[in-house]
Amino acid sequence: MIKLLRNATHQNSICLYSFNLINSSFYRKTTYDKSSLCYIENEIKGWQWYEKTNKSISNSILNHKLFSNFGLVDIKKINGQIHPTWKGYTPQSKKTIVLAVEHYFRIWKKEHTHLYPIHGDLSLDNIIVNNNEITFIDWEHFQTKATPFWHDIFYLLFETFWCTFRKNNKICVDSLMFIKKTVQSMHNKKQLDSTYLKAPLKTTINIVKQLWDESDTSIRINNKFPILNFSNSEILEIDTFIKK
Amino acid sequence: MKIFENELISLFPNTDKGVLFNKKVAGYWSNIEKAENKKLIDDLDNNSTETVIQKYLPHLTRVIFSNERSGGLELLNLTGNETCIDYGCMWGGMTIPLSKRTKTVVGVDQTLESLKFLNHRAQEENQDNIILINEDIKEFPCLENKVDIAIINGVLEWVPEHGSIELSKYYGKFSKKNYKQTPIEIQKNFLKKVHNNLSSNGQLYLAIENRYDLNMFIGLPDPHSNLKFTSILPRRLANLVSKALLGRPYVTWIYSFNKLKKLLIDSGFSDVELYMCFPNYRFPKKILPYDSQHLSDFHTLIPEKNDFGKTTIKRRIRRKLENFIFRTLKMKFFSPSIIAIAKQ
Repeated sequence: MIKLLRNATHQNSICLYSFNLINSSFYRKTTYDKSSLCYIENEIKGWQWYEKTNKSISNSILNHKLFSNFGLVDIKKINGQIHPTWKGYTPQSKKTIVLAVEHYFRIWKKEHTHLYPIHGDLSLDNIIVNNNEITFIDWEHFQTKATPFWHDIFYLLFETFWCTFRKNNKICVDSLMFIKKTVQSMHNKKQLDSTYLKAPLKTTINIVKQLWDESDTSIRINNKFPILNFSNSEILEIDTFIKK
Repeated sequence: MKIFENELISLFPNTDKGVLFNKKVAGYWSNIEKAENKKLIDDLDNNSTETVIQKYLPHLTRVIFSNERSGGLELLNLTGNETCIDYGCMWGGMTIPLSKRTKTVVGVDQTLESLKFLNHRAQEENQDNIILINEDIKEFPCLENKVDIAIINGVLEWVPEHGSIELSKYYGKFSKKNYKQTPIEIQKNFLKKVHNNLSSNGQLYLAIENRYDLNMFIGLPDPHSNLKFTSILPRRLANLVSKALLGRPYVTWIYSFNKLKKLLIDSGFSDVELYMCFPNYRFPKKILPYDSQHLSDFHTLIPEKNDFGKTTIKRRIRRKLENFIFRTLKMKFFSPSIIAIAKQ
């Protein structure tokens, strides 16, 4: 049984399929577009890096083809649950985020550098939870030596907040309290960059913009990374609250 | 490829700018008028295909160049060694991606200008495994058992039509016309020929609108005639409406899931697998096996806002209705488009 799950979202010309065949189950990503081949390449590199630092997963890439005009990658399916991003902060998603912080710290701290690899699209949709075990999936935007430590987690916190904000049409203090507590726990584990301490949301937004300004792509970043849609006054209000 | 190519060259000994043909084809089918098409082709001597489309037909950029169209190709289980025919290939929306995955693709179309355009595109993309043939797909000669993949993407419904069709002068416009056979007879004869050409492991990829697409019930016009409700009306009644309003019978027949399956089986195909396609087969975002269980996490693909960034009441109702019909009631038979994968 084959399903097409996604086709050219955010203008990146990647198709995502689910294959449930008699003897194998996997996800397949394909592209016929030269400018989108980099996402297939990133996906492969991302999984390879992740496997190297995370011994609990292996052989995630079952097959891949990279030509000048076509790319394909088959990724093993991972059991578990996903809490959809669009639901925003819920008791379950908060639990997932706490586990994701632990997971990130365990995996990323093994790098000895001042700029760390980046997942690049760490949202709740890309986190699988299975018996409190976390796996990050969807490595299309992976980059090596790209950002300060914790950037992916900051992105996760604020994208989830964006969805809560959109759903309720107001800044939800409860969710901000959760972000504040999480940021504090992150700082306790590994000192945060001073820019994050001063203005966490503004810094996260600036890094996302900087990363995409540097890359040659037609992707619609405001759709892909919704936190870029916060207004300046909202950014200030959120950052002030977290800093307090 | 050489033997196959030689056979095609013997059947179509003449060439015109990289397009093979036997004799001049009388028919024409294009979104654009003949004069406009000629102007566009002439300009290709100095400009790239994309520049020319941006200049003359910017509204067709997505239709022509988007890779979204090829979203269903993975259903075919491709190995890379296939010889394929894309029937009614037009500007190559499927031909180009298919040529990147398979050994040889033959693009057949009755409109010479479309093929000349496609030839330029193939050169720009460095795809030298595409053979283009100018012929009416109904008249395409028998290549018994030599084809591994047959593509009929948005073409079957047009097979009963004949003569010259410039869509801007046809769609919803009055023009008297007569037909010798019933649409289903013409479609069945064509499908039988397609079936005969397939090798023993050959597969058919057929994409078409669903006759009972939910949108047809809420008054969206038939995508082929521009008449409301004609697809869901009994054929005789649709004929009367079409004759009264357009001067010609209703011939662009599309089918329900079950009727399409029957048509394919009656034409000789076996192991027909049906898929629901959302929001349509031209730009599929989701393709799901034709089974209600796959609709449990359905979420409408109609955007919240229109092209001008506004949310209208009509749009809201359509979004709610789609979610209700598909996710809550799981009424799979109202899906907008169908993709059928069948074996020889």
